[in-house]
Amino acid sequence: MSKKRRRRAKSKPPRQYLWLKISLLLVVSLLLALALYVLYLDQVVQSKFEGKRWSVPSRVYARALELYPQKPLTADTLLAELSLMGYQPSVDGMTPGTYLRNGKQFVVTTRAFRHWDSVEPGRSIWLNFDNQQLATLTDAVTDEALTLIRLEPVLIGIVHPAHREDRVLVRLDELPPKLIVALQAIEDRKFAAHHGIDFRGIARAAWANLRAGKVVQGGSTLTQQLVKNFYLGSERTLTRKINEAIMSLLLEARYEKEAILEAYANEIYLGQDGNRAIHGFGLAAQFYFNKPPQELTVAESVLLVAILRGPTYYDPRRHPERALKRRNQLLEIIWRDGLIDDQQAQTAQAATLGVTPRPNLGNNRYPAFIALVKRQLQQDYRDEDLRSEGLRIFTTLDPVIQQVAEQALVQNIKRLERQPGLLEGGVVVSRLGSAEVSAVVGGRKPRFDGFNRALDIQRPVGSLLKPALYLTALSQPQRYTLASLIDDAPLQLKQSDGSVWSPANYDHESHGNVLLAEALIHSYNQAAVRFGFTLGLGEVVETLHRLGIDKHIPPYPSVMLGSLALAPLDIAQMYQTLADEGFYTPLRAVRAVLNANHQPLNRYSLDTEQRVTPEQAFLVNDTLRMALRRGTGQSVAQHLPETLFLAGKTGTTDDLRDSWFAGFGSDYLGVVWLGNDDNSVTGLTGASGALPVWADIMRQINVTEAAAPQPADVEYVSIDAETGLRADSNCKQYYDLAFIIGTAPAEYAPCAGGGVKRSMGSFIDRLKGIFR
Amino acid sequence: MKKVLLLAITLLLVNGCAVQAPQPTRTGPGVLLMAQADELAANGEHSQAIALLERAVRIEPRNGHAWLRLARLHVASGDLNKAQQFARRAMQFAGTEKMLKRACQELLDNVSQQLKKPG
Repeated sequence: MSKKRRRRAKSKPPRQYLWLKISLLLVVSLLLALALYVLYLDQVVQSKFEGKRWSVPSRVYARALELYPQKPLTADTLLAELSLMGYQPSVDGMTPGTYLRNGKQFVVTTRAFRHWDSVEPGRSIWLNFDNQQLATLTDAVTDEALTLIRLEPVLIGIVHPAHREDRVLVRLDELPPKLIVALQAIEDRKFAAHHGIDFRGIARAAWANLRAGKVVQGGSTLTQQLVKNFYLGSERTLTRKINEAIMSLLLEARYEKEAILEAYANEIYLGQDGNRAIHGFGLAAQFYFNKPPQELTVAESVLLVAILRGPTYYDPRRHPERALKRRNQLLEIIWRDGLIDDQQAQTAQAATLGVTPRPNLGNNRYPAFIALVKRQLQQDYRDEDLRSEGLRIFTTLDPVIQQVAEQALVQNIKRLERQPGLLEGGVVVSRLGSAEVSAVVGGRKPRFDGFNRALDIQRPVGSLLKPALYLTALSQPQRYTLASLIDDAPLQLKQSDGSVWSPANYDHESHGNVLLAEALIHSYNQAAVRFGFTLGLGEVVETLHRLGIDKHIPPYPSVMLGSLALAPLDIAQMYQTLADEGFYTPLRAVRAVLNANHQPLNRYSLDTEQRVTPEQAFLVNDTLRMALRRGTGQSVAQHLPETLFLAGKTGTTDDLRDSWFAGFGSDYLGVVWLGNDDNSVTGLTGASGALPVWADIMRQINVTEAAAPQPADVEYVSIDAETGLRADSNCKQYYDLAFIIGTAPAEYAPCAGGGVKRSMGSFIDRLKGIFR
Repeated sequence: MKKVLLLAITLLLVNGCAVQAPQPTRTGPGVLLMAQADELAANGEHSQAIALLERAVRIEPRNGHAWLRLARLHVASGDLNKAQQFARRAMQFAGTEKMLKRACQELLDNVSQQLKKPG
């Protein structure tokens, strides 16, 4: 090496100033490189600060609770809703997000909320409950009677973009002033004055740390902290320190202090919720206190400032003593600095931490319902729209009904199961009229995001399809009425593989000629298969499609007995059409989706189509009402209040593997399935398994007690069970059946004095009919 | 005869109590939302009006007036098939309200006439 140099030195004689020139060149190129590097960093600083700074996950909301006088609603239900919304009791209920309950009276101060169709202002309201309903609703300030207000919807889920950072963006003016003041006092006293780096602050921190022998103070400005979190990683190298310094200076040179502070307030890491990172004061306020940042007290604001130095170390839920100690230390500093007065300091020092129990968010609270939401979003919205961030998805979930449905399923499963842990179930509840899905339970562990039995299980539905069979007949009112006699004799059918199928009734008896209504009320199998052949299996399949079963249905006779495998959601769609008096409306779980700029994505509005006449639907529904009260549902229905209008059908499959019940009341429809995942025998019929679950749900949620109005051209006539002719109280067994006017039998049964004087003509019969 | 009369009166009373289908009240939330929707519709803001009416039928599913308004808005936006279906639904909830029934029938007649037109 040294030889080489000497040789080179010999061949090229040293020039004067060579070293100087080289040094100069080096310095110039270094400066140039530095300038280029700064320019590059400037580009980085600008592009990220001015572009879309953060990816914000999408938020999913439940339905908003509507309040108006005479609404069927109990004080307890309102309380359940308020606690889900994170409202807290207070002395007067007059600050946003608080309430005061006094027996049946409430004062609630709501928060303003931007719904998908309009903005609902926040206000103080006075509510008075009486007799299962909201009796009065007035403005608590002006005493003015209110016609309609809407609470904010409960947040039920967060759909993450690729990474797991979560935040609720806030503007600086949405944060409490004391929070901003405290933040600067603790983290960066000279924030208003420095240009990105506070050299005196660094020196002071170094001195303090030296004296303490450990790191007690940081010398980084808020700007540096922002740069570190926003642009750089967490590695502790010299290069990073230099980058941080340059970028801080650049950021300060380019942007206003307010913009930097606002970015800081949204960027800062403040906690962890499972695999979800809590960023920014907006989300932290929600995460720790379940309220928007505007509502934070001084003590709560300072707690957030206290946490940010070490969100894990000072986690107020896991280490409340540490968090409290640090909060109070900071409060003292702020008070000494004169930023809060004595009174404020005293109140804040005395305050408890005030953190709420850990919210159970993410998607684990209502996984089964969220699954339906995701499915419908994919069906009805464009993929590219859904990929954009910060969507707000407004759904139809009713959290109170969901809770009722979950409890009913879980408790009944525990009561009914023969072998612990084996029995499973699924529930769908929907609202009549709008066909909005109010609740979905996917299994006995409602929080577990596993196999969704409400949507995905495919099981034979037993007798649940029978209403379609009889509806097919009743669509020909001149040929068939509920009083038509049909044959329930045994039958044998040769199948394609040569074997013989002989469907049997559940009670293993044949009942001869039965009324069409009776065949449905008691769910006779032999009558159903025979009658299916009479009507034509293809016709019945057509009716099933009209009611909303969207699948291929092979026209086999066994379909009459429900060999078709379906999910509870499919059955809900079918019964929804019946319950809505013949109008098909697609079940839906999503009302609207807004993008980050509050613009609605292409929405599909309410749709409805008449598939069956109201009269025909009424005849079937009225028979289903009797099936519940007098037929297959009797065992459970006798415990339900008579005043409730309820109608429904049991479904039981071979060897008691699947237990179904589908039916509706005045306001809601419910479908329940119970069975084992391995398809083993449960020993449950529709009446002994699914029906009690259904009844538990329905009696709590159908509160208006008013049935669908009887169509004008429908009348009731008493019919003798034996002959299918008009009956009176002398007949042994008779039913009051609904008929489209003009289709009821004119003749009287022998037990009602008919038959003998048949030749007397129908005039007297009609006369009798008038007075009946 | 007396007995029959008594029975008839009792039946009438019992029926009167049993069938308490929620009639749209004169000052209820439905009325309020319909008034707001009418205003929006008059200003040509149809999708906003539809949103309000959907809210109305969500609160009062058997409010025939709200269903009829939805039908009218669908006529205005040219979706005649949808209009027809909504008018049928309105008709179903019209009950004994003659005016409402007549309005539904008029709309249905109009729509079916237009639907029959070729092209």
